[in-house]
Amino acid sequence: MQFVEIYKLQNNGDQKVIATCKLAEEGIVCEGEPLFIENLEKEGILDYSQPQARIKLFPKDGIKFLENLKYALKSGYLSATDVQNS
Amino acid sequence: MIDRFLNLGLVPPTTIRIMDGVEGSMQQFIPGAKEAYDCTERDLDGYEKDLMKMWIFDTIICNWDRHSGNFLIKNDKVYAVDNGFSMGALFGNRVVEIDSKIDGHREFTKFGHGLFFDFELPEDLLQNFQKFISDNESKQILKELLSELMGERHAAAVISRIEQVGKIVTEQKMIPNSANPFWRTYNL
Repeated sequence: MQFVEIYKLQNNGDQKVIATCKLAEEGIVCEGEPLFIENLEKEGILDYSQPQARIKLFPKDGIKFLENLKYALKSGYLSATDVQNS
Repeated sequence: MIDRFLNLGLVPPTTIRIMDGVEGSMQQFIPGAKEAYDCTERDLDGYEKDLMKMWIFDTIICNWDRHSGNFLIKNDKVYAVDNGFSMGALFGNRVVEIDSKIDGHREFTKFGHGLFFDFELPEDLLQNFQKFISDNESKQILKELLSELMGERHAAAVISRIEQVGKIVTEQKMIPNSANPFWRTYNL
């Protein structure tokens, strides 16, 4: 199974997993902090492989959504892993 | 640097550092701040002035990547973080030419904050633009500093965008919706 973990930087410098997004039959399923996930899923993320097209990706877009999370979430406050296999 | 020269107060102090042989930026951490991803629509009420400033700022720095993970709120202030995909960085560092159309970004959150056409802009923003665009010495200093970082063409383009946006802002005290096609058109 392919998945991405999303980390949030804590005030003490630790990183905490706040959400995990997994590839499922119906697309991407995210589990974790509800408000974060709700906003992420509603807002979508840019397809960074073709930024000029300004295409937004949503969980229904499957693996592309997973692959682009690490480019969207790179502030240091939030970060996402590469796509991992379990 | 642009944030400082325009006195916007959006970007936490940031500096260049080389760590393990890799050059990058280091930015002051804002403890206890909330990413917009952790906010409800109501949480963002009252932040409109700073969000307007960030909208203008993103236009000037050609930031195509403002979203709810890239700005924070704390104590009535908005912080613009992760500005790494600015200045054409998403497009192989292509310069947005001086005579190109400038680009504002689209709404960047599900709440639609980020599009403020026809909204009256904050008075301090108008004053800061007025001050900067009439101050040739400041413009020259900023241009020289940016040139060192990213080259003369990028620097000249930034100054041009500040002047273009500043002209609209100071004359009309808003970004009129009639500027919408101009604001959204780009030429990279």
